[in-house]
Amino acid sequence: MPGEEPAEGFDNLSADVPFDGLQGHGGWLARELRLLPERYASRDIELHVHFRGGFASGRGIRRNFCAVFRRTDMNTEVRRERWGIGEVGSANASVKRGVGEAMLVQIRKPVELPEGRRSMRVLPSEVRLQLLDDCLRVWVDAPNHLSAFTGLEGPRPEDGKRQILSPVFGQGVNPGVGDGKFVDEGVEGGMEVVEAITNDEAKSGGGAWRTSK
Amino acid sequence: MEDFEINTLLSALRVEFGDVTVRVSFEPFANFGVEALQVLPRPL
Repeated sequence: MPGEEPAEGFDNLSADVPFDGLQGHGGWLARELRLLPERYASRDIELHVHFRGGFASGRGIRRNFCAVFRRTDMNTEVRRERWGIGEVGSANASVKRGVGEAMLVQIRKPVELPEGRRSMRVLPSEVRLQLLDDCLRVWVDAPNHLSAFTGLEGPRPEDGKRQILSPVFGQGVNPGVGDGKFVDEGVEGGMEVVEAITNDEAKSGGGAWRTSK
Repeated sequence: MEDFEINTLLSALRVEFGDVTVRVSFEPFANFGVEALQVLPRPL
Protein backbone atom coordinates (compact mmCIF):
# COMPACT_ATOMS: atom_id res chain seq x y z
CA MET A 1 0.00 0.00 0.00
CA PRO A 2 1.48 3.34 -0.99
CA GLY A 3 0.50 5.05 2.20
CA GLU A 4 2.39 2.54 4.29
CA GLU A 5 5.78 3.71 3.08
CA PRO A 6 7.76 6.04 5.27
CA ALA A 7 7.60 9.58 4.02
CA GLU A 8 11.06 10.97 3.67
CA GLY A 9 11.71 14.63 4.08
CA PHE A 10 8.86 15.16 6.44
CA ASP A 11 8.29 18.80 6.96
CA ASN A 12 7.31 19.45 10.51
CA LEU A 13 4.30 21.63 10.92
CA SER A 14 5.23 22.95 14.30
CA ALA A 15 7.54 22.35 17.18
CA ASP A 16 7.07 19.58 19.67
CA VAL A 17 5.66 20.40 23.02
CA PRO A 18 7.16 18.48 25.94
CA PHE A 19 4.74 16.26 27.70
CA ASP A 20 5.14 17.31 31.30
CA GLY A 21 2.20 15.27 32.44
CA LEU A 22 4.15 12.05 32.20
CA GLN A 23 6.02 12.74 35.37
CA GLY A 24 4.65 11.09 38.42
CA HIS A 25 2.86 8.32 36.62
CA GLY A 26 5.55 5.70 36.93
CA GLY A 27 6.02 5.43 33.23
CA TRP A 28 2.83 3.52 32.53
CA LEU A 29 1.27 6.50 30.89
CA ALA A 30 4.24 6.96 28.61
CA ARG A 31 3.94 3.36 27.55
CA GLU A 32 0.23 3.75 27.00
CA LEU A 33 0.71 6.86 24.91
CA ARG A 34 3.36 5.20 22.82
CA LEU A 35 0.84 2.56 21.88
CA LEU A 36 -1.63 5.05 20.52
CA PRO A 37 -0.09 5.45 17.06
CA GLU A 38 0.00 1.70 16.55
CA ARG A 39 -3.51 1.30 17.85
CA TYR A 40 -4.65 3.96 15.45
CA ALA A 41 -2.75 2.41 12.58
CA SER A 42 -4.33 -0.95 13.26
CA ARG A 43 -7.81 0.59 13.39
CA ASP A 44 -8.17 -0.14 17.06
CA ILE A 45 -9.04 3.43 17.85
CA GLU A 46 -10.21 6.58 16.13
CA LEU A 47 -9.30 10.10 17.13
CA HIS A 48 -11.88 12.66 18.03
CA VAL A 49 -10.71 16.24 17.80
CA HIS A 50 -13.16 18.46 19.57
CA PHE A 51 -12.87 22.12 18.90
CA ARG A 52 -14.73 25.33 19.19
CA GLY A 53 -14.60 27.72 16.33
CA GLY A 54 -16.33 30.40 14.43
CA PHE A 55 -15.92 33.31 12.13
CA ALA A 56 -14.32 36.46 13.34
CA SER A 57 -16.97 38.51 11.65
CA GLY A 58 -19.80 36.21 12.56
CA ARG A 59 -21.04 38.32 15.44
CA GLY A 60 -19.69 35.90 17.98
CA ILE A 61 -21.34 32.82 16.54
CA ARG A 62 -19.39 29.84 17.74
CA ARG A 63 -19.95 26.19 17.32
CA ASN A 64 -18.53 23.15 19.01
CA PHE A 65 -17.41 20.60 16.49
CA CYS A 66 -15.99 17.14 16.49
CA ALA A 67 -13.69 15.99 13.71
CA VAL A 68 -13.34 12.23 13.69
CA PHE A 69 -10.16 10.81 12.22
CA ARG A 70 -10.23 7.17 11.30
CA ARG A 71 -7.63 5.06 9.59
CA THR A 72 -8.85 3.99 6.21
CA ASP A 73 -7.82 2.87 2.78
CA MET A 74 -6.92 5.26 0.03
CA ASN A 75 -9.96 4.53 -2.10
CA THR A 76 -12.53 5.87 0.30
CA GLU A 77 -15.21 7.75 -1.52
CA VAL A 78 -15.57 11.29 -0.34
CA ARG A 79 -18.01 14.03 -1.04
CA ARG A 80 -17.81 17.76 -0.69
CA GLU A 81 -20.40 19.68 1.21
CA ARG A 82 -20.94 23.25 2.05
CA TRP A 83 -22.16 24.48 5.38
CA GLY A 84 -23.26 27.82 6.60
CA ILE A 85 -21.95 28.44 10.06
CA GLY A 86 -25.44 29.30 11.16
CA GLU A 87 -26.86 26.28 9.42
CA VAL A 88 -24.84 23.62 11.07
CA GLY A 89 -27.85 22.44 12.98
CA SER A 90 -29.87 21.98 9.86
CA ALA A 91 -27.04 20.05 8.29
CA ASN A 92 -26.95 17.84 11.29
CA ALA A 93 -29.24 15.18 9.90
CA SER A 94 -26.94 14.39 7.03
CA VAL A 95 -23.88 14.59 9.21
CA LYS A 96 -25.33 12.11 11.65
CA ARG A 97 -25.77 9.61 8.90
CA GLY A 98 -22.02 9.53 8.84
CA VAL A 99 -21.74 8.59 5.21
CA GLY A 100 -20.25 10.71 2.51
CA GLU A 101 -19.07 13.66 4.54
CA ALA A 102 -15.60 12.34 5.01
CA MET A 103 -12.50 13.51 3.25
CA LEU A 104 -9.15 11.86 2.94
CA VAL A 105 -6.26 13.19 4.96
CA GLN A 106 -2.96 11.92 6.14
CA ILE A 107 -1.93 11.37 9.69
CA ARG A 108 1.74 10.89 10.35
CA LYS A 109 3.41 8.85 12.99
CA PRO A 110 7.08 8.50 13.78
CA VAL A 111 8.84 5.29 12.90
CA GLU A 112 12.27 4.07 13.84
CA LEU A 113 14.50 3.13 10.95
CA PRO A 114 17.70 1.11 11.05
CA GLU A 115 20.80 2.78 12.40
CA GLY A 116 18.77 4.97 14.67
CA ARG A 117 17.24 7.00 11.92
CA ARG A 118 13.70 8.22 12.18
CA SER A 119 11.09 8.95 9.62
CA MET A 120 7.38 9.50 9.43
CA ARG A 121 4.88 6.94 8.31
CA VAL A 122 1.82 8.25 6.53
CA LEU A 123 -1.49 6.80 7.61
CA PRO A 124 -4.29 7.42 5.10
CA SER A 125 -7.27 8.50 7.09
CA GLU A 126 -10.72 9.84 6.61
CA VAL A 127 -11.99 12.71 8.64
CA ARG A 128 -15.59 13.71 9.03
CA LEU A 129 -17.16 16.58 10.82
CA GLN A 130 -20.03 16.48 13.22
CA LEU A 131 -21.41 18.61 15.96
CA LEU A 132 -19.85 18.02 19.34
CA ASP A 133 -23.24 17.45 20.87
CA ASP A 134 -23.89 14.61 18.51
CA CYS A 135 -20.53 13.13 19.31
CA LEU A 136 -21.05 13.25 23.04
CA ARG A 137 -24.60 12.02 22.78
CA VAL A 138 -23.38 8.64 21.71
CA TRP A 139 -20.21 8.63 23.75
CA VAL A 140 -20.90 9.33 27.38
CA ASP A 141 -17.58 8.06 28.67
CA ALA A 142 -15.46 10.09 26.32
CA PRO A 143 -12.56 11.07 28.58
CA ASN A 144 -11.64 7.51 29.30
CA HIS A 145 -8.16 7.27 27.92
CA LEU A 146 -6.35 10.38 26.94
CA SER A 147 -7.35 13.90 26.45
CA ALA A 148 -5.52 16.87 25.16
CA PHE A 149 -6.29 20.49 25.36
CA THR A 150 -4.71 23.39 23.72
CA GLY A 151 -5.29 26.90 22.83
CA LEU A 152 -4.76 27.97 19.30
CA GLU A 153 -4.09 31.31 17.88
CA GLY A 154 -7.31 33.11 17.44
CA PRO A 155 -8.22 36.22 15.55
CA ARG A 156 -6.05 39.22 16.18
CA PRO A 157 -7.22 41.35 19.06
CA GLU A 158 -7.28 45.09 18.83
CA ASP A 159 -3.72 45.45 20.04
CA GLY A 160 -2.54 43.40 17.11
CA LYS A 161 -0.70 40.87 19.22
CA ARG A 162 -0.98 37.22 18.43
CA GLN A 163 -3.56 35.55 20.59
CA ILE A 164 -2.10 32.33 21.83
CA LEU A 165 -4.19 30.43 24.28
CA SER A 166 -2.14 28.53 26.77
CA PRO A 167 -2.44 24.78 27.09
CA VAL A 168 -4.84 23.90 29.84
CA PHE A 169 -4.56 20.88 32.04
CA GLY A 170 -7.89 19.66 33.36
CA GLN A 171 -8.30 21.68 36.49
CA GLY A 172 -11.99 21.35 36.00
CA VAL A 173 -14.68 22.40 33.69
CA ASN A 174 -15.39 25.97 32.97
CA PRO A 175 -18.92 25.99 31.68
CA GLY A 176 -18.64 29.66 30.93
CA VAL A 177 -16.28 29.16 28.07
CA GLY A 178 -17.57 30.44 24.84
CA ASP A 179 -18.54 33.92 25.80
CA GLY A 180 -15.44 35.42 24.31
CA LYS A 181 -15.77 37.47 21.21
CA PHE A 182 -13.67 37.76 18.18
CA VAL A 183 -12.34 41.25 18.25
CA ASP A 184 -10.86 41.62 14.86
CA GLU A 185 -11.45 39.96 11.55
CA GLY A 186 -7.83 39.40 10.80
CA VAL A 187 -6.73 35.84 11.32
CA GLU A 188 -3.11 35.13 10.71
CA GLY A 189 -2.20 31.79 9.38
CA GLY A 190 -0.13 29.75 11.72
CA MET A 191 -0.14 26.60 13.70
CA GLU A 192 0.11 25.80 17.30
CA VAL A 193 0.43 22.57 19.11
CA VAL A 194 -1.77 20.35 21.15
CA GLU A 195 -0.22 18.73 24.14
CA ALA A 196 -1.51 15.44 25.40
CA ILE A 197 -2.47 15.18 29.02
CA THR A 198 -3.66 12.32 31.11
CA ASN A 199 -7.16 11.49 32.01
CA ASP A 200 -6.26 11.96 35.63
CA GLU A 201 -5.08 15.44 34.95
CA ALA A 202 -8.09 16.12 32.85
CA LYS A 203 -10.45 14.63 35.37
CA SER A 204 -13.81 16.28 35.10
CA GLY A 205 -12.66 18.03 32.01
CA GLY A 206 -14.11 15.65 29.49
CA GLY A 207 -16.64 16.82 27.04
CA ALA A 208 -16.34 20.42 28.00
CA TRP A 209 -14.35 23.36 26.87
CA ARG A 210 -11.87 25.33 28.78
CA THR A 211 -9.72 28.07 27.48
CA SER A 212 -7.32 30.49 28.97
CA LYS A 213 -5.88 33.68 27.61
CA MET B 1 -23.93 34.56 7.20
CA GLU B 2 -20.70 33.06 6.08
CA ASP B 3 -20.32 29.74 4.44
CA PHE B 4 -17.39 27.46 4.43
CA GLU B 5 -16.52 24.26 2.75
CA ILE B 6 -16.35 21.44 5.20
CA ASN B 7 -13.30 20.25 3.39
CA THR B 8 -11.63 23.59 3.90
CA LEU B 9 -12.22 23.38 7.58
CA LEU B 10 -11.11 19.79 7.84
CA SER B 11 -8.05 20.47 5.73
CA ALA B 12 -7.00 23.17 8.15
CA LEU B 13 -7.02 20.64 10.95
CA ARG B 14 -4.01 18.38 11.01
CA VAL B 15 -3.09 15.57 13.30
CA GLU B 16 0.11 13.71 13.82
CA PHE B 17 1.53 11.45 16.43
CA GLY B 18 4.67 12.15 18.35
CA ASP B 19 6.42 9.82 20.71
CA VAL B 20 4.24 10.73 23.62
CA THR B 21 2.02 13.36 22.15
CA VAL B 22 -0.86 13.73 19.82
CA ARG B 23 -0.25 16.90 17.97
CA VAL B 24 -3.07 18.82 16.40
CA SER B 25 -2.54 21.98 14.48
CA PHE B 26 -5.03 24.29 12.92
CA GLU B 27 -4.29 26.78 10.22
CA PRO B 28 -6.87 29.53 10.33
CA PHE B 29 -8.55 30.21 7.03
CA ALA B 30 -10.65 33.10 5.91
CA ASN B 31 -12.10 34.48 9.11
CA PHE B 32 -12.52 31.19 10.80
CA GLY B 33 -10.65 30.68 14.02
CA VAL B 34 -10.52 28.03 16.69
CA GLU B 35 -10.49 28.70 20.38
CA ALA B 36 -9.83 25.37 22.00
CA LEU B 37 -9.13 21.79 21.19
CA GLN B 38 -9.54 18.46 22.85
CA VAL B 39 -8.28 15.19 21.44
CA LEU B 40 -9.71 11.90 22.54
CA PRO B 41 -8.94 8.43 21.25
CA ARG B 42 -12.03 6.32 21.01
CA PRO B 43 -11.99 2.55 20.75
CA LEU B 44 -13.59 1.10 17.64
